[in-house]
Amino acid sequence: MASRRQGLLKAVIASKRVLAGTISSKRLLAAIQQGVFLPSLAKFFDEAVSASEAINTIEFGKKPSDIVIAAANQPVFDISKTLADLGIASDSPAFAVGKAIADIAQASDQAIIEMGKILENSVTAAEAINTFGFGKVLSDTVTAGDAIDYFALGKALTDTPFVSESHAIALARAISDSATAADLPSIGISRPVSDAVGATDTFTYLVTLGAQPTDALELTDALVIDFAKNISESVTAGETIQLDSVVYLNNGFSASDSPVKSFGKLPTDSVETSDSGSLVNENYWSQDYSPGYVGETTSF
Amino acid sequence: MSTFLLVSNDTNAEISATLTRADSGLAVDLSDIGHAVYLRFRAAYSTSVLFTLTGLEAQPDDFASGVVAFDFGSNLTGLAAGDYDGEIEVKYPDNTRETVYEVVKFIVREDFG
Repeated sequence: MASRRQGLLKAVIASKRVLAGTISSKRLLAAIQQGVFLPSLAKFFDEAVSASEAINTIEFGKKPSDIVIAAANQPVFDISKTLADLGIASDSPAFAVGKAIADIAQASDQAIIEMGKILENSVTAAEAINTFGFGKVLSDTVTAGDAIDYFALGKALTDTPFVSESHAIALARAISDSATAADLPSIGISRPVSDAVGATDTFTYLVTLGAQPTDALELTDALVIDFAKNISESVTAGETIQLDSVVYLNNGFSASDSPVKSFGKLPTDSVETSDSGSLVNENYWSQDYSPGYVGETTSF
Repeated sequence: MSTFLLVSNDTNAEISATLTRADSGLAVDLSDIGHAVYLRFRAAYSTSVLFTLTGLEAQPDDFASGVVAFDFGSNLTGLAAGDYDGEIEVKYPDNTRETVYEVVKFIVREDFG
């Protein structure tokens, strides 16, 4: 009995080995070699050979597909050899044989703000079918859509406005001048001094411009900004000074002062006077002395 | 699979591939109409295919023997030096496709001028 059990076990093990041997791969292998394989003449032939259709059956609704494999042409000098031209050609359009491939659909909108204008979408789809295909369905879907469903005056269709403004001159722009005016009136009398434009007075310049004042009576003038000043001269002598690049000084005894807006000069007239005569000091009267009185006489 | 050496700007570079089955070792018959064999060429570590070559029959009955030739033509013109990969794919008459798993390795160097 023990030997029978051992025989059964061996038989089972042997069968498993057979199953492992049946597994194999049928995948594609490629052994590559590098060199020159194609005949040189064959390369000059254009591979665009005619394609022959291999259609065994034509069924309604079936798309005929042209699949032709192009092969290299053999040399033409071998007239005894039948050229087997097998060209590879595949039709891109799937819906017909001999159908024009190019279906051009164009849609263009030209929006113009104009009364009564109708937006037209011109869409053309052209098909040239030379053969009649059973079950063939021409499906050229051309869509044309207007961006505008209704016409509206003033409506911007595709506006991408870009507006940029730059003020060259800002109207009503307050011009603020940061100007400072400093007046240094020597005599502040009633009138407020206001300078629209900043000005700094250099009083000394005007005095020295032009002619040098020569006063016979030793007059020295100093002008001030004094519009309301009444200049009263006790002595008829004075100068006329103008605000100018050149200072005119007229010296004359009969001249009178005319007050103008001048900077820095203050007219002050000072006059000196002198008296002359003789002083007689009488001491006593003497009969025998003419003019009678004896004394001293001094001249000044 | 071996690495094949190419030179940039060459116009007469070719390779030949013999397609067989892994289990039987028999050649794949490509003579039936509708077969097409393609070689896709791209730079190594890239996903963009630079060009695709269509397999040609260099000698009569090559297709029946599973032999297909690929002519690079002018596709090597201006090709930068570097490593490239090739993939061979067979399209059958029923529009099914089968691709060789092994990637064909190429090394391109620049020509001297």
